[in-house]
Amino acid sequence: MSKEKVQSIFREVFENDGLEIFPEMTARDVVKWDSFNHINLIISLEEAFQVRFTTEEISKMANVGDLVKVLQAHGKDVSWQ
Amino acid sequence: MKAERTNISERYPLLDQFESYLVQKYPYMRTLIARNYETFGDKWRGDLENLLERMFGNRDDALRLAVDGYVTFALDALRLQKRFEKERRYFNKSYEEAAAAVYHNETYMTSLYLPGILLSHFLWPHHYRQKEFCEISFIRDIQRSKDRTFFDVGIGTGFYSRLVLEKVPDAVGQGFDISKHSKQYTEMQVRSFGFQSRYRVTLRDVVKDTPKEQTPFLMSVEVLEHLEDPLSFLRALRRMLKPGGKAFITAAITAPNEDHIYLYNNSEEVLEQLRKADFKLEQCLVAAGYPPKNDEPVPLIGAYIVT
Repeated sequence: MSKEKVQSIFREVFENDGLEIFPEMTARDVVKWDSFNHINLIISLEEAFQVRFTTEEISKMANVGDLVKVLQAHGKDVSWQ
Repeated sequence: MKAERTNISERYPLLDQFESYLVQKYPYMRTLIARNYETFGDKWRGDLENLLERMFGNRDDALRLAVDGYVTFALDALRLQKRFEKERRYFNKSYEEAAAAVYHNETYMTSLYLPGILLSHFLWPHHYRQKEFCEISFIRDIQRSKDRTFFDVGIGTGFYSRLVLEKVPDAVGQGFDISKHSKQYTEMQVRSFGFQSRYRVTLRDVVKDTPKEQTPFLMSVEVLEHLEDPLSFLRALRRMLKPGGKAFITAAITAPNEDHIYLYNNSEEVLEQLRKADFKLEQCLVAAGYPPKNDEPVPLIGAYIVT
């Protein structure tokens, strides 16, 4: 699976249809990426990928690349291709 | 900018430490402190520093644990809120089930639930507004009264009991709860502020065993939604209040949590029960955790000053 599914969730949560995600992207790169919307993002990803992240896993998500790695660790086929 | 930061670190060392832990481990939480400070100003910062200093000063591990507890608590609450947006109902849990899963579960209570709730009084805007409303509209009346005794029914973390004891230096209070973990946590908080000689906690279900003595001031903060039959509880509170006395009663509205079993869909439903229990409304505050994006339900608190 490509990054598209993750990207579509980012676009919905941050209400930006033109948002292009990349591995090094952090909250500083996205308008509206605050603590509240980060939790919305996590919950939307959990719903879409049918996973439940632990608080420890969430703490490791410093950028979008980390977030994708956690999804991969849950056996989800997400890649940057 | 750097000088300003140093100044803040010196004036609010525990808050600075708290924010460092939070951002270090949960980088996406970096706006949490600044956003609340922008909304509520210096008093908010001073109030939180005071609490952190008393509760966690010199106990680095406890402060870190509280940070973890708060983040997990907040995350769980928002997960449940998202589910509630779709289903519009709470978990189908009995009171006994909720009590076993939460109130009598030591690990859950001490590592997550109680620190989470305690910090939410500052980090959730509607909780902080509720505290401010209590100070202005209820605690000031205790300060002005000759009889400064109070009851707190369903003490939780002991936050509101401690607040009264702090703001009214000669107030004497009694707390009631069914959880020994709440009792221990409250006693720790009251002790850490040095108020233990003016306060005691009794483990008691006030519906089954209503105290005979009455009080001029009574608080019950976010208890109603935890009960199968909140009206019977409100009637018990009514019996505990002296004629002419005043109560501060609050409820969570459209706000699911692990142990919320009675759903209030709006403030009017709470008011209706207060009227049935023979309370008269003096003032109320309804505040939201965050604004809705569309027309979805958001977590609300309803706070009522009644006589």
